[in-house]
Amino acid sequence: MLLYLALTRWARASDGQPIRIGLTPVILDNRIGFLRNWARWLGRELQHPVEFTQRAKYQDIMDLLERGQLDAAWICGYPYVRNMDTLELLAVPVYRGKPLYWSYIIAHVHNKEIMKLSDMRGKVFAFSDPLSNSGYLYPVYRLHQLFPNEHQPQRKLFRRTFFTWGHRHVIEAVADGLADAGAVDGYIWDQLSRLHPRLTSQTRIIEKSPEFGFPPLVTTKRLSAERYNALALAFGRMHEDPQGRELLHALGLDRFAFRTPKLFAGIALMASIVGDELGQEK
Amino acid sequence: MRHHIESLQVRVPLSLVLVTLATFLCVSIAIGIQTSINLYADQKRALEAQAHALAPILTNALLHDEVWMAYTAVRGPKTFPSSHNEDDPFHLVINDKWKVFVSDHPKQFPLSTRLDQSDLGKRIRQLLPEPLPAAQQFLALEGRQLIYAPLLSEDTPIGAVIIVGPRGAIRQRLFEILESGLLVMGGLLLVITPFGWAWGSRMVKPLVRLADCMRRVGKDPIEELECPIYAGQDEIGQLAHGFQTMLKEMHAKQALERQMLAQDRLAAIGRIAGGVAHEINNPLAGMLVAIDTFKQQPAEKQDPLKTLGLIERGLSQILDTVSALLVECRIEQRQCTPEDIEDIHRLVLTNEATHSIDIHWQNDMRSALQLPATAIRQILLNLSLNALQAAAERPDGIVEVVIHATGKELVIEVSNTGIPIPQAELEKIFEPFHTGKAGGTGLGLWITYQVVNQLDGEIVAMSDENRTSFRVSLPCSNETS
Repeated sequence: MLLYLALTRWARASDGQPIRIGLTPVILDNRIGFLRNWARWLGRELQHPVEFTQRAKYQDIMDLLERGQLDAAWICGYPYVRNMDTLELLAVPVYRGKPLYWSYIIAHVHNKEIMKLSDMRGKVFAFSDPLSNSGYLYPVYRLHQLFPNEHQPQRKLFRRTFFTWGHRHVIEAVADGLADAGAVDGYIWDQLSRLHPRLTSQTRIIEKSPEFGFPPLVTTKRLSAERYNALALAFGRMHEDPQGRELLHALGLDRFAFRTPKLFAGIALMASIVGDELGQEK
Repeated sequence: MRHHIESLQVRVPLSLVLVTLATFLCVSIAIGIQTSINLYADQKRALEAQAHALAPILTNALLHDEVWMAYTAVRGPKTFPSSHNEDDPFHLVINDKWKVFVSDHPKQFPLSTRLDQSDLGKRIRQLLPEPLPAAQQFLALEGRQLIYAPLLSEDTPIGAVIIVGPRGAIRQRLFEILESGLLVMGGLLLVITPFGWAWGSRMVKPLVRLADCMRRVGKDPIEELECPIYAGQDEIGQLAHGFQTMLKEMHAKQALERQMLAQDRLAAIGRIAGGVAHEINNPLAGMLVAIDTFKQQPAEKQDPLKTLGLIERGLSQILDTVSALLVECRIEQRQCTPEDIEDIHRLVLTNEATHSIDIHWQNDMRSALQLPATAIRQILLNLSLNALQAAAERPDGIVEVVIHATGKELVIEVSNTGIPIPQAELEKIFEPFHTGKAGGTGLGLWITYQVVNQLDGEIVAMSDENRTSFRVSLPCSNETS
C-alpha cells in the first residue's frame, strides 16, 4: 500500500505545474464535461492537478510533446512508430477485449456507385489527418496494394482529396456529400453510431481494415521514471475504481493495459513501405 | 331575399362592414409592399455582411487548400443529416479557374468540378465577366439575390465567394406578415361587424319606418294612416316632416274632390231636370193655349175635335220624351246580320248631307251575330247621322265608319272631321237633353248610351283637332249557323 502511494504520488519536487496530457482526435475529444471529470479523477489519483491539452492536428500535439510542454499524450500508432526512438509507451486501451482497432472506408449510404475502394477513381476522398493510421496511412497503403504499378496512387486515383483534421469530420464530409468516401477510425465510427446514430446512419462501411494496435498513450523518454510509473499506474488502475470504470464506459473502452512496442509492428510495416512518400505530405 | 338585400337595413350595415374590410385590405397591401421592399434591402445587407465575414477565412482556406475549413465556414451551424432544399440560400467558393473549391451544396456543386458543369452553375457563370472581377457585385439570379465577393490576395482575385439568397423567402415572410394581419383583421371584424350592424340598423330605422308608412299610402285610407315619425333635424327628419305635410295636403285634397263630385252630380241632376221640364213644358204650354182658345171661343165656333187633336199631339210629344228617357231594349229574337249593316249604309248614302262628304265605310262582319238587330241598327244610324252632320260643318268633311267583328266582340267606330268637341263638352256628351247642334233633342246619344249599356257594352267619345270619334264595343258570340 505504501509502495503504491509512493508510486502514484506525483513527485513532490515538481515545480507546481499541473500534469499536462495532450489529446488528439483519436478519441471524441469534444466532450468537455467528460474530460473535466477525467482530469479530476486523475488528479485525485496522482494527488496533483491534471490538465488536458487539445489540438486539432496530430502534429501540433507531437510538437508540444517534443518540446517538453506535455508530460504525456494520447496519439495515434503511426506517429508513435515514426518517433519510437524518443517516445515511450505509457498505456494501450483495451477495446472489446483486445488492445486493437481497425479502419473503415465509408461512403454515403445512398451512393450505390461506390462498393469498394477501387470504385473511387475520379471521386473525392476525405482523409482525417496525415499522421493518422486509420485515416491516412492504412488507406494509402491499401491503394498501393490495389494499384501496385502506380506511383502515389492516392494522388492520381482521386479527383480531389482533403484532410478534415478529425475522424468525426470525415464522417460529416461523407454524410454531407462533400466527399464521396473517406477513411475513418473504426473505434470512433462505432462510438458515434452509439452516440449520434443520425450522423453515422448517413454513411455505409465499404471496407474494414485488418486490426492494428490501438492508439496509445505515450510519454517522451525524457520523463523521469518516477513520474512515468505514477502515470502508468493511474491509467492501469482506472478499471478497478467505480468512478474510473464509469469514465472508461464513457470512452467505450474496457481498460488501459501495458503493452510492448511489438503491438505496433503492423503499422510500422506499412509506414516502412509507404511512409517515405507520406513524409512529404502536409 | 332580394328584397332583403335591397333594403337599406341590410345595405348600410353591410357597406360599413365592406368599407372596413376594404380599408384593412388596402392597409395590408400597403404594408405588404413596404415590407417587401424592406425585406429585400435587409436580405441584401445580410448577404453583404456574410460575404464580408467569410472573405478572410475563405481566402486563407483557398491559399492553404483547406477544403474542410472553408466547408465549415460556409456550412455554418447545421444539424445532421443536413437536408438541402433547392430554394435554400447557398454558398459557393470558386478558384480563379472557375472550379468549385467548396460549396455548402456539395451534391449540386461537387468539389473540383467546373462551375458550368451544372445548369445552375452555368447560369451563375453567365452573369459574371471573365476573368474574375476584383470588385464586389450584386446580381439577380432568377428572382434570387446573388452577391459576388472576390477573395483577394495582394489585390488579385485568387477566387471568389458567391452567395445566393433564398428563393421565396421574402414572399414567405410577406405571407407570414399578411397572415398575422388577416388574423388581427378577422378579430377586429368580429368586433366591428356587430357594432357596424347595430349602428347601421339604428341609422336606417327611421327610414324603414317611413318607407313602411309610405307603402300603406293608397292602400289604407289616409285618415287611418298613423305614422309615428322620427322627428330629428337631419335629412331623414326633414323627409319625415315633408311626408307628414304631404299626407295632410292629400287629405285636404281628397275632401275637396269629394265635395266637387257631389256638386257635379247635383248640377247634372239640375240640367236633366231642366231638360225634362223644358221638354214637357213646351207641349203643356201648347195644350193649355189650345184649351184656353177653346174656352174663349163661342160655343158654335168651338171645335172639340181640333182641340182634342192638339192636346193629343201635345201628350204624344210628352209621351215620346218620357219613353225616350226610359230607353229599353225590346227583347227580340232577330239577330243582327251583315245585311242590317248594309241597310244602314244605304240609308246614310241617301242622306242629303252626304253630297259634300266623303264616306269611308268598312265592314268586315261576314255572318250573323248574337246581338239584337234593331239595337245595332239604332246605334249605327244614330252615330252615323251625328257624324254626317258634324262633318258637314267644315269643308271636305270625311266620315269613317268601321265595323269590326271578332268572335268575341263587335266594334263599331264612327269618326268625323267636324269641329272638335271641347273636353268639357265630351264629359257631358251622353247626358240627356245635351245637344251640340241647333234643333237637336239632345236625346240621340243618351239613347245610344243606354242601349250600349243594356247590351253590356262600352261607348267612348274622343275628340282632337283632326277628328272626333265614337267607339262602341259590344260583347257577343259569333253565330255560325
